[in-house]
Amino acid sequence: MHNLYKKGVWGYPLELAASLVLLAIILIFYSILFFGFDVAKSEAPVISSENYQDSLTLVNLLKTQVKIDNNLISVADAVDIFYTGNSDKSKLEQPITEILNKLPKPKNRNSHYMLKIINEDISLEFGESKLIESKFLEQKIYLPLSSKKNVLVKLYLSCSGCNKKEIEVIS
Amino acid sequence: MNKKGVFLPIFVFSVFIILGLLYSTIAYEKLKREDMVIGLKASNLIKAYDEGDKINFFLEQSLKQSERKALSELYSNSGYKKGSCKDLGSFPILDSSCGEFNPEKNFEDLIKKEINEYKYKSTFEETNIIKLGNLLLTKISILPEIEKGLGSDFYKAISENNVNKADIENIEEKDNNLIIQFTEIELKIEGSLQSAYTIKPEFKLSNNLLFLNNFYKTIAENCRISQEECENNLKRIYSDISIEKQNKFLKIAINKDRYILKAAVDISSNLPNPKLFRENK
Repeated sequence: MHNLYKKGVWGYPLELAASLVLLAIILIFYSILFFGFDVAKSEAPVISSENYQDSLTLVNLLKTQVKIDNNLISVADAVDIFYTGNSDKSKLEQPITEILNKLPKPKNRNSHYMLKIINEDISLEFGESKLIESKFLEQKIYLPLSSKKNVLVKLYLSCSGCNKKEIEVIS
Repeated sequence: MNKKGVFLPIFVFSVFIILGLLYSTIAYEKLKREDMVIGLKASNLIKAYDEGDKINFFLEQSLKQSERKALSELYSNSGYKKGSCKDLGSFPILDSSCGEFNPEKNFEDLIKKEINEYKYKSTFEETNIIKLGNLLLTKISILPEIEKGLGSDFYKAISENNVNKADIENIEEKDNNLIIQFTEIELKIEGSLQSAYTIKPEFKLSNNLLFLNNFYKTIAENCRISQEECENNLKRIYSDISIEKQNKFLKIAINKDRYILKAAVDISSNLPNPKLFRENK
């Protein structure tokens, strides 16, 4: 009997077996508890990626310098000049469309950006407008005019058949 | 039992205790979590920063337009506010009756008055928690009690109110530019009334007042003896200038960028006292 307790020998037949069985039961029990019930995983829902969007594209667009009547001015100033009656839409159309065409779009999709300037008197629209398409990446801001009124400027991606994943890639 | 024989049972027991403690810690922390919608706090912070960017842009645009109006008035009135000097048609008579020549002070008064007439409108939209998923219908209770009754435009109203309350705090001249500093604007972070994001907008404008100061110096130095001498000297110094004589006055108009500097000068009368440099505040 004494030899059985010697170091390095597979001994304690009863204690060893019982301990190993107990260890296995404990590990199985906690595995089920941790992984089966996913204790670390929160039950709380995850917010949609759309909620992380900012208005940087629109602000940068409005700050972009464009050439109108040989003067280099920002899009925001060009809009102000239009509303003070010193310009017409055709002068804004080309430079703004050029900027809209340079913005990133989903590949292999029929998509285009739209810029809408909404005022109680005259509203402006740049880009192709199609009613069936869905709106994505909408950004908006109020732009002050020198008349002290504000106009609402909206930018969005109009796309047919786009899904959220495709939009996440470009946003 | 030999001492060595108890090692394994103690080890098994320890594993049981350690894993049990780990489980209870995780479960307790999960229960304690305030972020009932994952990412909502981060999203609310991003919204506050975005609102800050929009406010900066709004103030920058308003400031540019206010500057143009202020400068237009100052240039048309020889560096004074409208009505400060007697006039000869559309030309202000630049003499001592105008008061102290201090375009910087007049500019500050005018730009402050102008910018206060702009009213900020926010596009801030509060996160509609019900929209995020069916499970969230019951999560409305995560909003603090105080916010439930405030309506959906609460943060928007706070933002608009704080921007419209903000004023120009300081105008400083630096390297031929004017540094315009606004007072602090506090933006409440949605879902957490005790947290706020504060911005202190600051903008740089090129100093167009230097031209007015230089014009005053030029008149003071070159228009002492006769109208002819004055006219010849001014035409030599300014390329885009028109001068018209009317009795004892010289009606001077100088084109400078988008502005027209106008002044009627009588050689025999005294110029206003200058105050060319801003007082230290």
